[in-house]
Amino acid sequence: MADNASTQWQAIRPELWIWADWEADYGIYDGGTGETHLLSELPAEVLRQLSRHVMTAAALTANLASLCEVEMAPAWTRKIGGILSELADLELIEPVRL
Amino acid sequence: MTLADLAAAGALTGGAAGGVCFRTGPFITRLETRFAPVLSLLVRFYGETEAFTTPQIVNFNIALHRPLGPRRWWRAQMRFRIEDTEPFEPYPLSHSYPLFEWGLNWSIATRSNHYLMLHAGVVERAGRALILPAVPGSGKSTLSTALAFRGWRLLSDEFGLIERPSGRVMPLPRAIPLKNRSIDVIRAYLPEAELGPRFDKTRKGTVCHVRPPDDCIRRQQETAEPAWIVFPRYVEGHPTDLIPIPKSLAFVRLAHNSFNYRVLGATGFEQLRALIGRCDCYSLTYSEFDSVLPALAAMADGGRQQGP
Repeated sequence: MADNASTQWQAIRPELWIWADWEADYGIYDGGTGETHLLSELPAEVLRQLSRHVMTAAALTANLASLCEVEMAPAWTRKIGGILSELADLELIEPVRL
Repeated sequence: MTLADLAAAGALTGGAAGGVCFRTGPFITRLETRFAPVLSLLVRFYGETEAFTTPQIVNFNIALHRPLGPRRWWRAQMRFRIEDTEPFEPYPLSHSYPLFEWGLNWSIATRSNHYLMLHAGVVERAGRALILPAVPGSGKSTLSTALAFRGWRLLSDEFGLIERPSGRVMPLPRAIPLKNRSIDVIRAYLPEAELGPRFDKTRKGTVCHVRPPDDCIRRQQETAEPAWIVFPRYVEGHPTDLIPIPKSLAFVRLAHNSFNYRVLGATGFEQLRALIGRCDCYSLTYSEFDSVLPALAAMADGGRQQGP
């Protein structure tokens, strides 16, 4: 699912998230699950973007490539796909069911 | 009136009818027991604490009582009760005092969720608190004891109580239970420290309590500003290493080290985030008091240093 570029992703109840910002790392408390997560910059940015808009994996990957000034290479696409999978496993995001 | 005053007036003898009420940091404990050795050690360790003869709103209503039947005399036992529950199996009668101390710790840890409770030693210097979170066996109590007799005020050897909403550290000074090798280490290093009787073969090994300095009992309602979080680790023969660590790492370790972080939910997260934000965070590896105590004093005297 995560490597399907046309899959749309959304944050799960981001209004229940509380953030902590420590230089290069972030903490997030998810009031929906009661879990606390420690995130590095890139997964944190994925959550920030998906908490603002529903997005396809392709659009998100392109946005992040632009933000991080990296090329849209297959390795980058795989990296973002992996992050989406991990965040989904943590119940922070989910694919949109049509 | 202090606990020592009550004892001198004979109010504790004859079983302290109605129990004895005394202050432990922010809490009032009522202890009902007729077992004189426990009362005697209570007065010895906490003689300077505030005690009450009039009815109080009590936080912990504790009774130590000997069971009826054969176990009253054959392999005699002591039972711990808080309110209407007995959370532990009976202890041997000779371990009644450790049972009281551990039972009170358990009561605090399970019933005081108006604080964020860290499993940590805490000491204070010039109004600023050094928090020493650690797992059992890491040397937290031994290090807290050494600091308490070398220029720091003991706030607690077991609980970092973080007050809401101020975020300040509330003292909870108690007798410090040294275990096994730590007993001889402290006897040798701090001859001025007063140690109580040895309790051999308890469920935690040999235990011996250090009487808390009078000053920390007298000032047990004087909170402190959290300033440093240091994760100590005793490694035999290791030189003292005091290394700044990222706040994110300190957050994760402290969350795991808290008695009630998960219970408090969003409030716990916000309290811990604020605490980490106010403190410089370090990991500490050490083996000798002669080098670790100056290192911590220098850290404190150096003012706020920038962490990574």
